[in-house]
Amino acid sequence: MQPTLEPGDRVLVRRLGRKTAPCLGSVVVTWHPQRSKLRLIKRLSRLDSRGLWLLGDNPGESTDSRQLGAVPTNLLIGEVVGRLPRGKSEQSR
Amino acid sequence: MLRSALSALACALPAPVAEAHCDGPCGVYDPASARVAAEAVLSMTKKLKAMEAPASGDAAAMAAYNNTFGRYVAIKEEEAQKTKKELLILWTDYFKPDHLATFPDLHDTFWKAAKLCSACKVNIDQAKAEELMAAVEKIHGMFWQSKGRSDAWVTAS
Repeated sequence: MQPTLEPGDRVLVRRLGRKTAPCLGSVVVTWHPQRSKLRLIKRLSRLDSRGLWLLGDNPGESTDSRQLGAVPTNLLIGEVVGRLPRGKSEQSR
Repeated sequence: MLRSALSALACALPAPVAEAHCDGPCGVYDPASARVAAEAVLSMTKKLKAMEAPASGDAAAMAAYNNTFGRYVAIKEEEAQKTKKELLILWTDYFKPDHLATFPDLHDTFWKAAKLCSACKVNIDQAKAEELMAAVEKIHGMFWQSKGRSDAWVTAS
């Protein structure tokens, strides 16, 4: 998700219920559609009947809906509302 | 002061990890999926070549023939496209620039293999289908060599 997020960044996530749709263009956290214990953080580019279409901000390096397809909406965990300031130790991680 | 204390506290709290690059953790790559599709292309090509048109005047036999022929062509088309897709995933997602040092012909190999997928769609050409299998076998070799393994090339048919 560079340049928006760096490895080790801490973000605040607002959990979303089934009835609340995340905003298009926001960064969201979801469960991985094929790996049950892996959380993904990606930007929401589209929302349709098939689910969430997620794209990384760093397309050259990202594995996202281009490979994974739509992520079912029930796998959505929440929407990122902010990033904590980077401490010196965080930056070096 | 308060702000930095709060952020230090927030950073010290445990938090689950979310991956932006699931390439590593979820990267299950295997040229076997391309091989299975390429084998299907070769198989359908052989079946199409072996088909014999029924005698003229037998409408029912002609309809059955046309139907089977159409199905075989559709499957050949679909599997060739699948082979291409699987190869492109290996090419663009699995292989990284540093692999070029070991395999200087990496791009050329994939490019030619992808073109063979198209040739197998355009024609009913067993030689092209066999060339495609050989190209997938070469990629299989490169892939496993890049992982420091030497998995045997085994086909289903």
